[in-house]
Amino acid sequence: MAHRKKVLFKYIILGDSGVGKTCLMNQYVQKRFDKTYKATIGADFLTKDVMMDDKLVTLQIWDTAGQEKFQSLGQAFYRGADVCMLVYDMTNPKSFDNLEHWRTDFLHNASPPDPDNFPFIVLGNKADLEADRKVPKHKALTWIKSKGPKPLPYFETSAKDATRVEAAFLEAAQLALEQVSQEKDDYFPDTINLSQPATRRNAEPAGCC
Amino acid sequence: MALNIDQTKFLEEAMRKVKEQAFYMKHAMDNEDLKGTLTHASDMLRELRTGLLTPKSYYELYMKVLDELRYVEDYFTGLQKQGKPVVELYEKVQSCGNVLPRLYLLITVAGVYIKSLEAPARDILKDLVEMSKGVQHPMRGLFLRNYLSQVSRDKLPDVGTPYEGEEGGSVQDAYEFILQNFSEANRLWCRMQQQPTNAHNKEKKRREKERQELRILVGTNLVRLSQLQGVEAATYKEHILPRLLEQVVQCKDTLAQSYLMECIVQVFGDEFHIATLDLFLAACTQLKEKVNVRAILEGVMDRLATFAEANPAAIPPHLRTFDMFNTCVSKLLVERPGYSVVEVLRLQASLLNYALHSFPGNLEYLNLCLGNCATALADKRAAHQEQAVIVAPLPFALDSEGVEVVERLLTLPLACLALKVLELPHFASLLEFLPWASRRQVGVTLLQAVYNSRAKLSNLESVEKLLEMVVPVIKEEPPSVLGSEEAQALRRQQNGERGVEDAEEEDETGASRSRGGGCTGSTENGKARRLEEEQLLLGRLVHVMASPDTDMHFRFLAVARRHFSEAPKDRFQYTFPPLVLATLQLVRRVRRREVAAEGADGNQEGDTQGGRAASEGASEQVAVEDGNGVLGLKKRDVPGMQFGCRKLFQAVHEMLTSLAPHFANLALKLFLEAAQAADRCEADAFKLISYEFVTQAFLLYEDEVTDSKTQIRALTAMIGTLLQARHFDESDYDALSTKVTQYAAKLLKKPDQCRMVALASHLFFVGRADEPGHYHDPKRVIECLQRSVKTADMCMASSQHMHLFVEVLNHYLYFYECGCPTVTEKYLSALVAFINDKRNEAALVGGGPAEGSSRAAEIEAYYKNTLDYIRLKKTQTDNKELADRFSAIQV
Ligand SMILES: Nc1nc2c(ncn2[C@@H]2O[C@H](COP(=O)(O)OP(=O)(O)OP(=O)(O)O)[C@@H](O)[C@H]2O)c(=O)[nH]1
Ligand SMILES: [Mg+2]
Repeated sequence: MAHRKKVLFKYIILGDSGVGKTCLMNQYVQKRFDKTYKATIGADFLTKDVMMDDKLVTLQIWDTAGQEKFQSLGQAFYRGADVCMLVYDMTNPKSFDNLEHWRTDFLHNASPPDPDNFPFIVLGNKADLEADRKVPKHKALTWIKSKGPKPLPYFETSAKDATRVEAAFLEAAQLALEQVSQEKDDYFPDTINLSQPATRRNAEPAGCC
Repeated sequence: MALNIDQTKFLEEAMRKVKEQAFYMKHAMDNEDLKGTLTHASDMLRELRTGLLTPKSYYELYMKVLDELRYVEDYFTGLQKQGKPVVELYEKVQSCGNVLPRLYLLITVAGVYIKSLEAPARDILKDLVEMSKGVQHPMRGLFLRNYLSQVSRDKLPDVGTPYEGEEGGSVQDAYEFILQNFSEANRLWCRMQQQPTNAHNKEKKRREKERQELRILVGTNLVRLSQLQGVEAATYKEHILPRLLEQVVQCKDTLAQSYLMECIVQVFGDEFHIATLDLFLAACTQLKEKVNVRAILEGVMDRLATFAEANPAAIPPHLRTFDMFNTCVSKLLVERPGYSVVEVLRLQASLLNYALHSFPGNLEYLNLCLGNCATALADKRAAHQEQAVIVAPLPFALDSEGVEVVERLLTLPLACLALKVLELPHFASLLEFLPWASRRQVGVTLLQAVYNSRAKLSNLESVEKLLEMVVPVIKEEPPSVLGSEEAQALRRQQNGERGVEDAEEEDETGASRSRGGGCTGSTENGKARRLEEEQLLLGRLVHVMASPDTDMHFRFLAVARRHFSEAPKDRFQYTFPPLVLATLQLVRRVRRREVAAEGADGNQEGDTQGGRAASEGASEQVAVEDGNGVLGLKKRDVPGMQFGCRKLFQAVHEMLTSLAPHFANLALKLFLEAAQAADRCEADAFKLISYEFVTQAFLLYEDEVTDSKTQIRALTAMIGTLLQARHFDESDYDALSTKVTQYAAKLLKKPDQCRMVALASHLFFVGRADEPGHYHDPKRVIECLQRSVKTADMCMASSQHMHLFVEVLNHYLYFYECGCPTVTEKYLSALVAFINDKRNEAALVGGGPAEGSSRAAEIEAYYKNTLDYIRLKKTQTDNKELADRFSAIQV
């Protein structure tokens, strides 16, 4: 039964094109950084196993396309997300302004059971370009405070030199861990369905697992 | 609508079944029941065979299934860890009944198989990509291949992975696998369009929409290729891009070509593009007619330009990327004669933009693009005119889109080029195709760019050219030769749906009639403000012109003047003052040359009668009358210099004379400036000129200045000018001073009279009594002062008299101190006594604190200070004579 006990957290990374979503994921999962831009098309995940409180947790990290023309099939993959990471580029004010849009879009399409307390985490990326910074820190702080009963966790990261990348992903896992008690939409038969052909079952379904 | 409801229903039903089967599947797993697991998994996967769902709904279902397949993968991994050979699973799964569920399961097992390193990645992947051909239904096939791509993502025998090796394969196997999966996916995707339909338009549209939605499933394969660590630029060039391009060109599908080319640009890195630009561009010219090649080219150019800006010298110059793009564009134009002229212009605009960013300062490239546009438009115009003989009576004009592109083409290079645009011969020729309002806009941008660049205009040709280019800023549009209806039709065509200002201007009268005040007022204000800004901007141009040669500099100004004079007269107020002031500044330089030449001649006024100027070249050009113009000048030459101070003053005179009827106050002020400049020339010869300028100012004062405040300002300026003048003949000075005093005495308001007459008194006693060479007429001084006292006494009613008295007292003191003989201690003592009387009177009448106490206190303080000053002077020891004189005053 070990395989069923494994905990899986689904992360969704959202943000404008070019903010560094792919780079953040690659840095965290593969410890790699690529300085040329390569667009992401659609949505795609990488997984990474981490130990949390002596438990093995698999992180399924969904990287998404920031460019609209590369997002044709919709947001079905938002469903069942445990954490959403909102990323902007500190050197690009527009990407910060759009965070609100990404957040609303997520809540709308993922329809989590308790939207007000859904764990978001905000990343101001490209911290290595401090000299070109265009979004003042206080603006980010004001925004994260306005988004719920508690301020959203906020990290200034650099996918380039790995600054605070690990910390941000672990904080996200911690948040998910606190949420995990809320079960996802698992299927339970209305009645124990005995009409299932016997050949397909060796034993009675136990009703719950 | 019905479709949406059905979709929800179908999707819900399918989802329910998936969840149900997944439930039993997991149950079977818990019971270590492999067969049951496979059966339920298979039943779950069977839902993906549905033909009822739209791509988006199918995607939702697919996502759900993928979630569940993760459990299958974990289960298989568990079995493998327990020692079960994966090959057994691999074979067992192949016996699953239905092809689609079988392939999904197979791919899932294969993932575990490869990961276990029990089988070589290469062979397994080859197997899978081949077997997936078993699903030929486009949508199902595309999703299946997407799953294959997703599962294999981290199991490719790429460089540095555990799957690479003798057996497992190399990066070559990795990209071969992806390329094949991509080709198959693309084939399925293109086939959707070719599926037989009853050629119903609606059906076609729907299919097209579905294809649009599914495109990412094809594109992700390209992302996979770009993620391979082992692929270097050379490999990409040799083995990957050619295959991709072949696929793109061969599929002959407009949608696929547009999308995939764009993906290639976005998905692969800059270095790869630089290495393969020729290949890529060659493919661009082989695409279907309807593909928007410009968008694709712009994509590459933007990338390369951004890259070049961030990494200068990263693109080797020998690549000549601009030439490559240019060749590609030329080829397109030849091969696609159907392109509209606007599309041609847009292509050139993209090219120009690329040149600007990647090769800043390369005028040749820019000129080439502009020239291409000019040629295209000239051809078009020629064709139009040929036709016009038969049908169209309208002259050739761009439509609104064309106007917009040409405006952009001309504006883009300005910020970076500024005055260098004058070196682009095609800039001006292209400008001609624009309607007036757009040319004006370009002109304004050009002027701003020139000022920002701080460049100077230093030769006549550039001055002429630049002014020619900004003619629409200077002038109104000349009346059209067309009938008004035709002209309107033309305008409509040019304005299109862009509510450009011209359209605004046109309906203004109409608007004011129908909508009444408020709204129109604000547009009118806006228009006036815009005009003012533009004209001020234009005026600044005068200061951009500079030449070390004063003759040349004057010619520049003359050219500017010729242009500015053609403007509507109400604009003179902005453009003439800078011209006049610049000319007066030039006078100083010219005068220095003259003085130097006079010194060298050794005779100061000798050649006043000297012969006519050797060169008359610029005479008519600047409308300077030779010899005896208004100023009654006589010519005198400095060798090698054509325009002496006199000519400059002549020009100033003419300018001010044309300004005067419309802007009297401004002209008055400038006449006085000119008078001062002439006086500063420090030679008797200019006193007549100076006198003439002052006279003109006086005439303007008499005829045009009526408002009190303006009169006072004008008089103050006149007095100031006269006081500074050093070279008037005594009789002239006397006449002018008398005039000013008369003006002052005639002012409407008594306090104004009092003050200005007192001020004018200074004209009659310049400097101190013991200073020689100054004009001194003591009698007139005391007359003025006495008159001021009298006038002040008439201001009792307004109770301003006290202040005026003290003011006049101060004037008296000044002259007393200077030693003006008519101003004696007798007058001073009397005035002090007189003021004291008035004060007592006021106190008796009860002008207590009620009467503006703070003002009264102020006057008191002023008076007290004045008296203190007298007392101080009495005790002054370092000037015994002065102390004695002051002692005579009774306070
Ligand atoms: N200096 C710096 N550059 C970064 C950083 N993170 C990303 N970049 C660069 O930013 C560009 C975009 O990064 P990506 O990760 O591809 O951006 P994205 O958000 O995935 O973009 P889309 O896939 O289009 O949505 C790349 O050129 C990266 O090299 C960072 O922390 N510092
Ligand atoms: Mg990305």
